[in-house]
Amino acid sequence: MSQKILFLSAILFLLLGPGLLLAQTSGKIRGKVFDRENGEGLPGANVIIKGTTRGAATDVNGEFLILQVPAGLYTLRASYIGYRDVTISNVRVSIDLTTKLDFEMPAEDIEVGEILIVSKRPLVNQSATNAVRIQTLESIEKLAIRGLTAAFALQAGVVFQDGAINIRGGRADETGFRLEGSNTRNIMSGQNVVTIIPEALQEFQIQAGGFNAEFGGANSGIISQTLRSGGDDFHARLQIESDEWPGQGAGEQVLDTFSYGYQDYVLTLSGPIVKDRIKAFVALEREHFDDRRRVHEWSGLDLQQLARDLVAEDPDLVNRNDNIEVDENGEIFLVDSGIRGGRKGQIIPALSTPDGTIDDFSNRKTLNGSLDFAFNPILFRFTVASTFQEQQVPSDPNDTQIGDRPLLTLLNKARWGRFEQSNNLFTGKLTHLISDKTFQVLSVGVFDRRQKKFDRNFGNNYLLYGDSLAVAEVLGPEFASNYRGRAIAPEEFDVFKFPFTRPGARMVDFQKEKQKYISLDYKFTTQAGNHELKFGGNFERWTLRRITNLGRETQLNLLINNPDLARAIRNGPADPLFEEAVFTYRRTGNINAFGYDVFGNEIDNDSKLFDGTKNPKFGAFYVQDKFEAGDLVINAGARVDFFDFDQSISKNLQDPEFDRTNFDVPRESLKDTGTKIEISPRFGLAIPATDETVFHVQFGRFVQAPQFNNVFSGRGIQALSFGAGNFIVNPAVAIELDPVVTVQYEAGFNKSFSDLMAFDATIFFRDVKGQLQITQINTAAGATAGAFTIFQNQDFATTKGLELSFTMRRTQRISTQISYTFSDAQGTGSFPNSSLGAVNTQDPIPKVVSPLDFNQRHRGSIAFDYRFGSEEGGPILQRLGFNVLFTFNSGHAYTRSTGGLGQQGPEDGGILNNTDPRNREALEDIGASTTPWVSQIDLRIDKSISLGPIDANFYFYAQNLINAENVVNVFQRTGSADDDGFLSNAGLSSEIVASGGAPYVELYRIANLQNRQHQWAFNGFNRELFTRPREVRFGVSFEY
Amino acid sequence: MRLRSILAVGCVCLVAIGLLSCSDLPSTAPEFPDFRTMTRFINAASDVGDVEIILQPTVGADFTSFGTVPFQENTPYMDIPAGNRIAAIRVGGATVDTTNFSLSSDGKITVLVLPKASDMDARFAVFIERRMFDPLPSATGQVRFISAALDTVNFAIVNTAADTVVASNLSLADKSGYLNFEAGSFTFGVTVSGTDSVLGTVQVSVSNGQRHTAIIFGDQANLGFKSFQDDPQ
Repeated sequence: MSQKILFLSAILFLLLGPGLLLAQTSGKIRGKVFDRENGEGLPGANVIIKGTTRGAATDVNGEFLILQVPAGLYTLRASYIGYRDVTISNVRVSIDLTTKLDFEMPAEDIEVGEILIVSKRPLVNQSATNAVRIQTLESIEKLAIRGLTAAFALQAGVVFQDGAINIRGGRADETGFRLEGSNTRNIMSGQNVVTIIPEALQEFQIQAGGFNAEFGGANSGIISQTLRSGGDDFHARLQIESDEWPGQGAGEQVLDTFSYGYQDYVLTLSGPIVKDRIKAFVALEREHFDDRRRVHEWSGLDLQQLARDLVAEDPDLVNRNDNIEVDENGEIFLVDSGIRGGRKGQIIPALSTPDGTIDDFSNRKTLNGSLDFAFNPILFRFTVASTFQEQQVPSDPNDTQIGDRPLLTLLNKARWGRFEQSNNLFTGKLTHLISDKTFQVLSVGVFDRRQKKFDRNFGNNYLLYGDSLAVAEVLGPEFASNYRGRAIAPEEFDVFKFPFTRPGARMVDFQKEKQKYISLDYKFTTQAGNHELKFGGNFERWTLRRITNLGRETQLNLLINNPDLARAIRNGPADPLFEEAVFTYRRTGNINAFGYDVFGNEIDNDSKLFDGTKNPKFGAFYVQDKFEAGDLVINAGARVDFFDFDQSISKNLQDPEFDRTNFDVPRESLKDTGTKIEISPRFGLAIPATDETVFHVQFGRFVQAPQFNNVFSGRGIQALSFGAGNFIVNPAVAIELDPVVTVQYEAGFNKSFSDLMAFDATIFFRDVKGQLQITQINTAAGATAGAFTIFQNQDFATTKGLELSFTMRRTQRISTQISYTFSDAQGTGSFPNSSLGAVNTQDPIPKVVSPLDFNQRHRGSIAFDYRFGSEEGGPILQRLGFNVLFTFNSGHAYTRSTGGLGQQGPEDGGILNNTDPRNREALEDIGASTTPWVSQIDLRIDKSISLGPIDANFYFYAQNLINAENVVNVFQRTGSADDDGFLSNAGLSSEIVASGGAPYVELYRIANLQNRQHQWAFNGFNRELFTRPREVRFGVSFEY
Repeated sequence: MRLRSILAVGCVCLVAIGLLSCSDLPSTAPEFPDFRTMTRFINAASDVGDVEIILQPTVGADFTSFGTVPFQENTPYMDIPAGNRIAAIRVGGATVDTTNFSLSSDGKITVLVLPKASDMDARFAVFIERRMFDPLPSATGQVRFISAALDTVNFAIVNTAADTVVASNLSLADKSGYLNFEAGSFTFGVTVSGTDSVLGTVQVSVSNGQRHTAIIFGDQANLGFKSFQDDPQ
């Protein structure tokens, strides 16, 4: 707790301290002030940004330039003696782009009073030399979506599949995510982890490749987000949204649509704290689901009813089946067959789940805030993005697969685990405006990510997880009664050959993880004539800790049976048995730890026994020249990146030192890898062909680190890899790695049609080299270690495609946005483990490209908005709007495969999975098949009314309006989402079916075909087979 | 100004709420258990008589003396760390018969100091009563029998009132299981297995929820038979 208080104090100090500040990711405004009558420039005119202390005076040609303007909406006013003032409002400035703004000044004797103009955001920004897609809250809040990830997925070039974002055919970890210029990517998984509340968004900008030398660390695209700032006026907004109609509970249907117990509350506050000097914005959101999964075709299960139905069909089943009994009243009940080691004849508790939903909640609380200080020539800006999330984990640790099967663990829901994570990003930026044309920026970013998986009954004390005494004390003796020893977990009930977890059994291992980084960024920018020269550098140092596989019964039994070892752990290194205790405990359960000792105590440095924190470091220097002459823009620069991955690998991989007794890799046998340096040129050109058409071409080389989930592990795991000869899906160790390199070419054009419509088209070609690929090292003859798997830079990919987008500004109440992407992403592996099957069977690893798993050849969206203005339609239709969003894609590549059952049990049937390919054999070229086309229609209707100073908006939206059962993944044996190819293939299933009979077949149909339990367990819930069913939500927002 | 104050305070409150929601990730491991036992020693070493018992309580620690225990007497139950212990006896000031044995976690344990016929014999024998968290039988009392007799024959135990053999074939360091008896007073006799001649008797008063260990001491020629109440707490 004291740590929390310190942390909080530090952050509040950072936020409120008078000597610190920040500015935000910014653009610039340039334009001309001229006489409306003769078009001559007016030298010495004043242009100011209202509500700020920023402004500029025009030069001899009447031109002006205002640098380092934070992204956002502004009002600018121009004044000149003898002319009326001209004010232009609604001027949008976007990150790293130039906003052009001209003031036509009427002479005082012609016009009377100030001239007020409302600017329209240009549909084409002519200063961009690559494809840049910008969206703001205003552009996405009328869509029938919630959350920014859904908005990202609508942009050209972006694929959202299986819970991950892929841009232009890059792997999921090749997308960079940034907030306020700071990295928000989970360095281990490569995924974005910082949540931005849509109502807190100023804008997001997707650069699908082609970004300039200032940006790095991402090979396929960068998604940059900025938070809102406080304005000149006070604003508050309260928004409440739900999917529960009055009287409807979670899991109940209204209009053939389930509620998932969804509730979302958003509160925002903003305004000036000191007029023109200090402004604040803060937003808080709480999102809750009673059922976070929201799956199609969840039919639920009533186990006892299934037995009654089976007996009704075949009364003799009572005599033939070990699970079905009848009491003296003729009531049918289920008992354990005992074949999994449980007590034969023990009555199975009632298991009945409703259809439609799974009681599997999630909670998320998010805080976004910004604080701006303007004391010319110094600007400061602080931002905070903080998220806390928790959800249930219904997995069974005996199930060694990656996912879960909640249907089979429902009897033990009291011990479902919890997953909890918090992500905090704090940024501070100090801008020094040296002159009108020169400024420098110093930024600091602090990121803190924590996550743990735990048993909520025992919290962090994992020693109690498998202890029946503790279970009895916390949950009651009945929950411990099935244990077969103090720390010997109960076997599962066996019903119709399916395992159902007994109440009281441990459900999760304990694991925890911390990621932190501190980043520094310096940038110097000067405008010299038409050249915007920029140079700078940045540095990012990470501190990573992780420990997994704690809390197992085997570990507790080790302690109980070896109490001197337990005491040694308690006593610490001074105990003569401590070293033995460390090695024995680590080996028991294969604990993977770095940044922690093997018991969970934080440590920083490597030692004989423990692995310290992993501290990858990244640095870069860059120079950049943006030449703007009229509408011609040339962006040229170069970037030098430094990578220190902080790997520790064996000095001799052909004969790695390995202690077979203790299953250890001696620290002195490891070497630390060095720093890698990469130089990346970038070039972009925008050429105006006409006033409405701009061509752009771009070339760039991009480098980034791989995801570190495949790179970092404790030495115990490395030893396991060297010595056990086990099949290890992810050995989490790599040879000395180089950065992954991408070379990209891009060309395109923007064309606007009048002021109302714009079209842009971009073609791209990407060549990626050095992606992670698993391989096997065969050790030298006589080596202690056997052959082992390891990751290396080997996979390569080629992606090319075409992106189209069309925007029609609102006219005649209608506005439209259309995007379409054609892409062809081919490579030697979709993810680092893709070649695992070939490695395991000693087959050649693919050296030719084939369609990647996330390749969606056609993908697009059409958003159509029809909206009445504030002065039209009468009281009913006034400010009423309809928005229809149609999205589609052509499915993605997969490989039809076959294979035996291997070690899979009857409950697994014939499922094939990606992580363990040992039973899988391709029936065709890799990626030769494609899943079905997918399309979806979403609808939103909203109406705004004014209640005095408060603007109220009432809305409802339906996602997947027609409840289409879209197939997004398929069973690899059949290419179908309904048939996994097991029961329908007698060669595979006849023996099990003959043994289990009709009860087994029926339960298999319910559990695995109707409710995809084996698919979730083996391939993860992210690879669910269907899109979400229809969801209807409604809400209201009040804005002051 | 009022709105500004509200905004400032509101911002600070919201930031505080958000930050206090950080995941509570412990930086230390939970405290590992120090498994203990409740152990008593009974001196059955008929070859040496009274002995001083010493024990190394934890690995690497100095030996602790439990004092002199007269023959056929016991120490109280003592809190001794579970694990592999080293014990010895001191006879006439000399430390002899250093022995390793294991005291299991959470055990209620009786350790017998045995007589030795040769150097190869063990001086100590460990007899588990129960684990501390196991309940005592509530509906009956229980008695078990251990032979510490340094003899070449096996012994049997008879319930003299019922004239029934309740345990047989007990040689040195053998034990019977705990046997259930209704509450009451019982006289148990020792015989050589297969014979009827009672060599000695012991009176045991059994109450429900109590356990007793009756031990045969000495040898055929000089037999002792004594009952000890187990775990009286």
